[in-house]
Amino acid sequence: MLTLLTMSFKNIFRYKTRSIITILAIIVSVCISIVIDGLLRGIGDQSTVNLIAYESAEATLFRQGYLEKQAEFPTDLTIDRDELQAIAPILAEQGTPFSPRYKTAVELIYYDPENDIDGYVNAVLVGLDPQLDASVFDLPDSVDEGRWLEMDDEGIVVGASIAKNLNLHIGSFLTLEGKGKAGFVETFDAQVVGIATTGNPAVNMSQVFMTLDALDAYLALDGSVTEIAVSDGKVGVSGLGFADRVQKSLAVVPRLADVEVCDWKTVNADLVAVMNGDKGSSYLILIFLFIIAAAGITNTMIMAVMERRKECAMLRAMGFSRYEVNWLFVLEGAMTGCLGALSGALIGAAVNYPLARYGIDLTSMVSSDMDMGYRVSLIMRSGWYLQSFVGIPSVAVFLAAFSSFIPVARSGRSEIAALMRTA
Amino acid sequence: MIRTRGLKKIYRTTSEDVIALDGIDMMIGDGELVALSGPSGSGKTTLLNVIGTLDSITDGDIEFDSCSLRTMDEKAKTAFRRLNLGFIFQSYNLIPVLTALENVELAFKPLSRDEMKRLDVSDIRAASMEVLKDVGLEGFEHRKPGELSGGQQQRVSIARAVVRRPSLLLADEPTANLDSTNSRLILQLLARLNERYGITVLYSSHDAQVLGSVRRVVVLKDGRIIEDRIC
Repeated sequence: MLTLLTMSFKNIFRYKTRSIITILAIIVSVCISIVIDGLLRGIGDQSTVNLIAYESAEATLFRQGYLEKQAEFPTDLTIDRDELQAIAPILAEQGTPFSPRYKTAVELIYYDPENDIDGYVNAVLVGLDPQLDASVFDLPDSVDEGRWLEMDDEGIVVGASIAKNLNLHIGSFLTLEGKGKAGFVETFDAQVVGIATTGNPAVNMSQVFMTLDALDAYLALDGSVTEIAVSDGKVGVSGLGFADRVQKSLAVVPRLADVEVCDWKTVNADLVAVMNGDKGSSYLILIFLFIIAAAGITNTMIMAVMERRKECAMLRAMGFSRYEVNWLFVLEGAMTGCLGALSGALIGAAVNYPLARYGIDLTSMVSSDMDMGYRVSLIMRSGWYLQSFVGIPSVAVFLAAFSSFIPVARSGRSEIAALMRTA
Repeated sequence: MIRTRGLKKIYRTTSEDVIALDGIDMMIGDGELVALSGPSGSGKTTLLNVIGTLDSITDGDIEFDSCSLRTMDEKAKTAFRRLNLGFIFQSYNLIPVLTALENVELAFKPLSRDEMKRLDVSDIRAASMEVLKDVGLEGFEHRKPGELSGGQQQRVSIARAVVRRPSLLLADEPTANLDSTNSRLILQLLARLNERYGITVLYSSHDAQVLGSVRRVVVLKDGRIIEDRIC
């Protein structure tokens, strides 16, 4: 085997130009694949973190049926005061941070005195308990102008993009028009006390926060909430089992049978589907790249096998089995793949470094209001993923070896004399 | 001892059947040095290939020390070649990325540990160096084929063929690519190796100089033996 390895390695450098072109094709494929994979995973992970930290927590409690209609903010599918009072001690006893929230669609009616412009925009008004909410979400830390809400506050905190678009400052007044629990429309004024710049553009673009007490007073919610966000302090994977655990703990109270606990993936099923769809199409590009590289290797190896038919015949005449001769070429392909894959991984790491550290800043290319689906800011960061750096080069080496096997296996079936004659 | 009985080889193509060997009956004793002669297309290379198990037999049989080659499967043929045969080709067929010494040592690589014992080989490097010295290439061991002349390359290929001390050495037009001086040297070398190691040598040639230097010449025409003379 050592002889075959040595010969295979030396054979790579026998036709330098051809080998270099093949290795370059593998390098480009592996490098691009690692960078794209890193970016996709990085954006996906960042998106998940921002989604959970600012928008939907690891899991959320809803009244059954609410989730399916959540885009309509139904007022008849809320969790009422009694249920909330039954749920709160259970979660508190478990030590599970929770935040009751009331979400409703509102129109923000504004007047910009500096530019003498008025109008309205749609937004989501979130009523929350400032203290409880801070134990589940990272919103207080994201307030970079003004302050976060206080317990008896009547002011509002607005997302940074809303503030920018409506030219709002600390102290500005907005008129909010929303539907109360009983179905009637209420209009009230509120002063901006804080502007939140979160890592989640959907929150910056569309959410306004005020205390649950103030919102209850304006919309006559009667102590009800649309959801209770719960956190187990871990992001992502743990959220799935966590929702089941919370659901089980609620089962001890029969009247809570109508309350369901949904993990963040279920709550954001549409977004997860978009992210997976994007991943799928990007991976198709990667597969395409690998097919091109594999075709290059197969072509190189076909030429190598054709040119070395006499050599193969001589090796078999000397007593090497056809499998050993096949191995010679497969190892050559695998080693070519190794050289390309390792170089590609190194170059991929070099390209990935600035992408992971500084990211790609898209702010000059696209508007900050643009919704790309992902919950990331316009600076897209890659990540360092062992799967990318091990998996992609491994696939490249396997493909290189497999691509080499095809031409040599065909030639290996020939009689030795036939190989001699056709060489 | 090699004996062929009614040996036939037919190449079937889509348009016609080409009879390359047409009932060859021949016997070659141990330690003999035999030249196959005849015009192009007479079947010399085919006969060598069939005896060397590089090509299949259409009809008839070949016995090697009373062992039929026709009934051997691919694995047995590979082992047979490893343990009994040495090949020399017209175009040397050296591995260009290996040195002369590594090319010779390559002959031992397919051998299993048991086969090494059977062939009584203990030191591959020493055996290879010795045979390179025998063929007059002492001092050229670390040169690659591209750094050697045609005659030197053929001597490396002879060294590679005889280093395992095969019972039978098959050489297909070994001097075809060489000038007359080198051809003579190669023939003398084969004769010397035949005498020194007792290797049976069977080679093909249509070179008058080559044929004049051997005791036995088998002349082929259209796949048949038309003359088997001992000079």
